Amino acid sequence: MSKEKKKVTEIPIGPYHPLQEEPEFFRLQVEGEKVVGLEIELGYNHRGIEKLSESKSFDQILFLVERICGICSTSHPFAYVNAVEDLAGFKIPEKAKYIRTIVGEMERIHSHLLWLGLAGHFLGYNTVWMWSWKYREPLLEICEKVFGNRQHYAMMKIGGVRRDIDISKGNLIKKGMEDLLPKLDMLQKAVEDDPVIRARLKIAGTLPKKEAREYCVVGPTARASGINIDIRKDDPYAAYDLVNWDVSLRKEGDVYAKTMVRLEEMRQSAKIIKQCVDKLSGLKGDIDIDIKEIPEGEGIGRHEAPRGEVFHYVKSHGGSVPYRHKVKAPSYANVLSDEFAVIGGTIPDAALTLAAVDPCYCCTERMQATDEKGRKYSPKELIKLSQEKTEEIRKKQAK
Amino acid sequence: MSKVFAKSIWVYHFAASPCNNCDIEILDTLTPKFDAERFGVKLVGSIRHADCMLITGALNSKVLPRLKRILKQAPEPFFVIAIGTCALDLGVFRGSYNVVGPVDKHIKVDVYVPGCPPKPEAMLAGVVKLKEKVLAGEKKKGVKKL
Amino acid sequence: MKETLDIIKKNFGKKILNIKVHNKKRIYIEISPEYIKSAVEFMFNRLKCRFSIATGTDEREYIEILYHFSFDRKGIFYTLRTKIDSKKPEIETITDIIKGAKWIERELHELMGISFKGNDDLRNLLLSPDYKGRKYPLRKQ
Repeated sequence: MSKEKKKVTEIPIGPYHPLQEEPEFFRLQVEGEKVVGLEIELGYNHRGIEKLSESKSFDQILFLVERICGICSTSHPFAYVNAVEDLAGFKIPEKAKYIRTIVGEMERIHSHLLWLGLAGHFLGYNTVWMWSWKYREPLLEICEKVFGNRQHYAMMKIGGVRRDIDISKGNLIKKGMEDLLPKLDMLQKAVEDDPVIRARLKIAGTLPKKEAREYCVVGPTARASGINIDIRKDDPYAAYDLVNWDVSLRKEGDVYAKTMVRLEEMRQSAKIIKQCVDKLSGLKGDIDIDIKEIPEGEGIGRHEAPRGEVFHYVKSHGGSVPYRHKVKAPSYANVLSDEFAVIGGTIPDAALTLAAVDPCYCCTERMQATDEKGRKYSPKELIKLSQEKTEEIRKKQAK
Repeated sequence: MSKVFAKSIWVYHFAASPCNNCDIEILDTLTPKFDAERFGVKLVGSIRHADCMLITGALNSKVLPRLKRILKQAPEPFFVIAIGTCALDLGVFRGSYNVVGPVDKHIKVDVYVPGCPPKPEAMLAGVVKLKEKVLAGEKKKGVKKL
Repeated sequence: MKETLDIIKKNFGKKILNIKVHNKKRIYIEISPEYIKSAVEFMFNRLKCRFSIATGTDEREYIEILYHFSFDRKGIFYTLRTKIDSKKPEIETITDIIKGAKWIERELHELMGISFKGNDDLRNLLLSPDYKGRKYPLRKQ
């Protein structure tokens, strides 16, 4: 029995990867080329935020939750203010609603561009990487001019927003969106028309609808598997029910579908931002309400972050600090679903699949792979493997 | 030696439980707009190829043994740049049960770049500072052995 | 919203200890711990809610576990609340119904010290093996 049973080799991926972001540790179990299992180890980023939060006042927590994640640095404060406002029943002024929406959507666009670039890098298309990061840069400049910082905007405040948007800068935002659209079309065309990219993305990391539901995935990962959920539509907050936009949905569940969903979402975000800027220019009034104290009770706030649903639960027993503050980030559900999605794929596809849910990426370049004969792959070779596969397909299709 | 060295500082990036923001800005510093490569800075995949480590984040108890293990592989001379408020003095994460930083409690840091997150320009200034240090002939005995 | 809540009321019957309607999108249903598994199954498999996360709170006299379910079609957030003894915190696992609950059970075990009957994979998720701080950091002192 044991002779016939193929040897399963374990490939450690991570926890350190030089490109960026959170360290996570994946153990890929492979039989030859084929991936048969995956184990994920977390905790390299655990900073005890939920406990720290119990020692900070409601207003200070905003600065803490902002620093949960740098890429979605407005998503956590957004969900948190939603939670506290749900707890206390505060209603925010209309102006604040539009400003919040603009901040949230700006973040979605630059986060998706960041993801697209990295996906391109893993495919061996460094041009896609450099391009999408180049197009991301003007957006960050707009953020700096309008919100005051490239990231960590600190715009959210319980009961409103901290700063008003100088409406003379509204044209700047709108122009930024106008400039972005043709570039998105170009990137979409690159993904859609290039037979090689298609071939690489179409097969990799499929997550069918049934499994997507069992793993409770959220955000673009769920929407690419045909699950129509978007907190912005289902449980509208801020100005999402005051503007026109559509949820982007695909059925296939593979990496290609995830890419297309994100590309479409960026277009919708641009649409939302333009409408918000228009509506904001005619509005007068306060940007926040006066808040004296947070009453006793519990509240739940949600926000559709670039990666999916961010969930905050705040419980107060009176006083200036919360009794319990629970945070759930979207990757918590999405990364777990990799357990299913990578199985049956090949090693070069695994790197791509792990990246496709847009986790905090990491790891892949520092992985060391061993095949049955004990040959070792260095981190660079693994990316090379992935890139070689692209090259092979390209050659095949050229014939 | 130091003159040549200062012209091609290769960096390795180590994320010690950060919030990703410094990390993204490090990458931004390397993209064409800020172009850190004009100072000879290049991001490498392994610490074995690097002359300098960029460390971000508040350093938690799970990362510390990994940091020690990785640092053992560092060639000499080797420099460390701590990037961001968390790496410098923990910032908002001070007092957490799982945080064991700041970074300079465990390793010797040569250049500090403050900010939350530091802007790419600030990081470039940090790199230039390190270059000056190297050119001034600062002897480097390697990172504090752990 | 009315209909869904009625279905839940009809199905759970006397198992429900208390219903708190915070507002029309946030509903808290308290259930005693022995029925929690069947309630979770009903929410997930029959009502087709999406399991969002579970929250554990140390209320000193008891430990409270909240199972958050999102009824995405209507945008309603149902929360099942259950209270367990803080001296011997134990409850049945839900990982056999919902695969997505694997990590949160490990986390609750690690940070709150709740054990889940029937879940044999309760290794540490977040803390390192040589973590020297306080045991169960999310418990109140």
